[in-house]
Amino acid sequence: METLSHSAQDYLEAILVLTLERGQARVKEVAEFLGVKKPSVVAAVKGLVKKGLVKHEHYGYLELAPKGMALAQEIYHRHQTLFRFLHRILGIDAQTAEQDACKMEHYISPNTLERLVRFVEFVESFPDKEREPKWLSHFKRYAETGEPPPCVSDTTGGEKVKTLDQLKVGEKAVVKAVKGDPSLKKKMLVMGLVPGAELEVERVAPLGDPVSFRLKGFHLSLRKEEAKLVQVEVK
Amino acid sequence: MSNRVPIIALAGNPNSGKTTVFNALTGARQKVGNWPGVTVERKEGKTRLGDGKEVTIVDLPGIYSLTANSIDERIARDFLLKERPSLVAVVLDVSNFERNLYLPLQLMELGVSRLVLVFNMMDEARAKGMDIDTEGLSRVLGVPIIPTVATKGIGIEKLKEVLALELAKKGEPSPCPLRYGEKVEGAIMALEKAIKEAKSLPQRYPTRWLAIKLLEGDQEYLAHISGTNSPGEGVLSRLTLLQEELEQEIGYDLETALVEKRFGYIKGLMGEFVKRRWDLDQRLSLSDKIDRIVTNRFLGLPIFLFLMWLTFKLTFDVGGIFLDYIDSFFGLLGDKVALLIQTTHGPAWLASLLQDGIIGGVGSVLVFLPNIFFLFLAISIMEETGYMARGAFVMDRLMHAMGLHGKSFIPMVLGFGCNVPAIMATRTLENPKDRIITILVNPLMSCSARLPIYVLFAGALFSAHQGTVIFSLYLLGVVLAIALARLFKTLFFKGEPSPLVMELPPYRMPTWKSVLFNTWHRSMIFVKKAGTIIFGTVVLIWFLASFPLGVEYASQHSIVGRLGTLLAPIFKPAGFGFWQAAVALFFGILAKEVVVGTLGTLYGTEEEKLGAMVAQHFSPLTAYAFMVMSLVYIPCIATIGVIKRETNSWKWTGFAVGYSLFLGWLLAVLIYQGGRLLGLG
Repeated sequence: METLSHSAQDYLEAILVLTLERGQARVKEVAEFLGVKKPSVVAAVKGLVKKGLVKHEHYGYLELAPKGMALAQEIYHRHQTLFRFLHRILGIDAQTAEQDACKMEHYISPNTLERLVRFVEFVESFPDKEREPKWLSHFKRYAETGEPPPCVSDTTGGEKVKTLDQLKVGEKAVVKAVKGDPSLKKKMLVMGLVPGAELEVERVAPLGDPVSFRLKGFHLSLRKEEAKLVQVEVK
Repeated sequence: MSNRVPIIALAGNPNSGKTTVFNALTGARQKVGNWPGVTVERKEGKTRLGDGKEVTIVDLPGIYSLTANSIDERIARDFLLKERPSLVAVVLDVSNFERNLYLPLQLMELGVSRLVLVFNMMDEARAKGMDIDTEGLSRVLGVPIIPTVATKGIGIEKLKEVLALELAKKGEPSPCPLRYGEKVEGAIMALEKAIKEAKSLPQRYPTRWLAIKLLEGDQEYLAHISGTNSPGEGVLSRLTLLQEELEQEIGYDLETALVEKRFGYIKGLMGEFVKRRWDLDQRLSLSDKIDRIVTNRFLGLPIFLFLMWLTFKLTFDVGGIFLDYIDSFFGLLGDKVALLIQTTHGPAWLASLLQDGIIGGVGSVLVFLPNIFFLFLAISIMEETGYMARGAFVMDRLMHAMGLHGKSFIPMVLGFGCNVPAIMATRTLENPKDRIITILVNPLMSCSARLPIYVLFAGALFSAHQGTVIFSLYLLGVVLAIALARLFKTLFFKGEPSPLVMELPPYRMPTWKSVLFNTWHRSMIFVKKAGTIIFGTVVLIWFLASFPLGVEYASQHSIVGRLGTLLAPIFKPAGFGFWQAAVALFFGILAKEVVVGTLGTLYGTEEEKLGAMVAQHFSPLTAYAFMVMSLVYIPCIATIGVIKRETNSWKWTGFAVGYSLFLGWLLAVLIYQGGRLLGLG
């Protein structure tokens, strides 16, 4: 990565985005996309071909070689993460965020970038996908109005979000998310444990486990270890 | 091939009444076997449709969807992909509309067959206050819908008519009306394009189906495309980018999003075509009232244990009556045949072959039949009423602690009666890992055939503590089973979870027809498949005991006697290194209680005096070692037969025989040597 110049990184990213959007990338399109002249594209591509990152077929079609694809994806991912940080978390408008992300991705140190990526991941790992953590809403309000946050000790974002195994008999809840290894997750999903599904805890087996739930008009039983993988919001 | 009998596949959720529809369609014209390579029952039957045309109906396993995560679902999917039956009839329990409609949507998405939806249990839906506009639904989904009440035969004739009509049409596969929205559809199309361009990709799956499953991130399909070279790479890299883009857009993972979309679509259909006259979910249905008692905190376990006791009684006591008849019938038949040959001066070896080999062999297969029949009668009733799932619900905690599944309890308890039906009862376990572990440790449950050995030895050498000694052996078996279940789980299935995601179906009155069909078919599977192995071994052992020609049956000069003499030193460290013990153990493979009879023959005494004879040859310590050996070593031949039958693997069968032989010997040696060290010898 260090040996690749900023403009080379931009070219890789441009080829990737064009391939994704239009199914192909040509020299002409890359030039338009980056706002540069065709000869500069040709020159830059030559360098990339030499490094084994891009394949240049006839008629101006450009294709990413596997190594180039991996690099481009990394660059693209970094760009997207920065964009989300600026747009979603700080609340900058999309256009400015896009432009600033382009600049930032080249100029900040890898350490800072890595920490920023972790931060975005952390915020995005918030279980309730429809809303955001409360502290973030508070921050946004503060940024716009200067209104200080209300005094709450809440850090999880919603006091009602629990996992299914924490519910008591008779409690009703709405499914928010399902986790677990792929096959178990799939199994629970296709049984109807999808976000938005309503369920009620019916009873616990005599020995304390498993637990039976009423869901979509039928009865489903899960062990507590499986129920732990289902995040719900208590009604 | 134009005169080939057309195939119609029958699909549906478990407990949707699919089997009842199958029985109603085919009557007694059924063939039951297994799907190739697995022990999942495969049923097919013939029927004449409305226009008199004969068709084969293949009953697919009961499934909830078409993922590759359960064997049942994989079997169903692969059958549809490979055989491409032109018509699939999907049976739905419409009283449980929302979840049942998921499967037909998946079948449409797979897109290889035309569908006919059988809206079964219309009476229950009506009782729940549901008014279903089947005509409207049929128009929107683009497939015929036939309302039925299969238990009462309502709608079956109509179904036959419609199946005939649809079969005659020979149309395209039913298209899937479900669309995922612009963004996802765009991604699906882009992927489809990439898949079509990847020429080296085997054309195993329909393109749209493959594209959707790839977006869902299904491991099996990912493996399918990543196995190919550079063109497949194109699909893979395209996929990762599309996935990332869409997931950002949607806010959570695509897999969840797509499944949610399908349920959302179903919800939409319900809103439009299902009117609820009242909301019964607010009221307690009869099923819930039963559950309040049956899975009650205090009553749940006693009720379960009582039902187990009933099953046990039915299997072994009622079955035992018939067993005695069968046993004496074959005994008598053998005697008569032997007598006939003697009076006609036929060779003695022929009489013996017929009596001890062939008739004895057939007898030793059929003698289990009453037990198995009554066991499966009880199990079928528990399955059909819906109790089986409750039993698993109640027992799961305990069995899970042993590394097993709630449903493993039934085979384990039955093992105290006889391991043969017990191992057949593992069919109720869906997960192959649970099934194999339950099968492997099942022979450690002291079956009733081991009791005569315990009684003989404990009576002869531990007269004061007979009961305690016998109890200790039962307990040892249970402890070993628990320890080995955990050990095998960590050894062979480490890290492979067997989660419990189980439906508790509503209680229903079973129909006698399907209970009896089910019982009969399962019993026949035992006779045909396990029977061959059992019969073969009985004849082999007869051969070993009778040759070389002219020796007395099972004497020291027969092959088996020589083998016994040869093997005796192996048992020396266990304290019973004499040829009679080795031969008795050898014959114990036939059936464990034969050990007693063989010792009687070899010591040349009647059964009443055998105790005294045994007391001369064995000390309390060697007797205990011998009993432990009898408990643990090699399951009897009938058990080996069903292990092979139910695991469908010589490897697991060999392992079951090998580990038990070694463990039995090891324990016997440890007990004898340990006892001697403690000065008990």
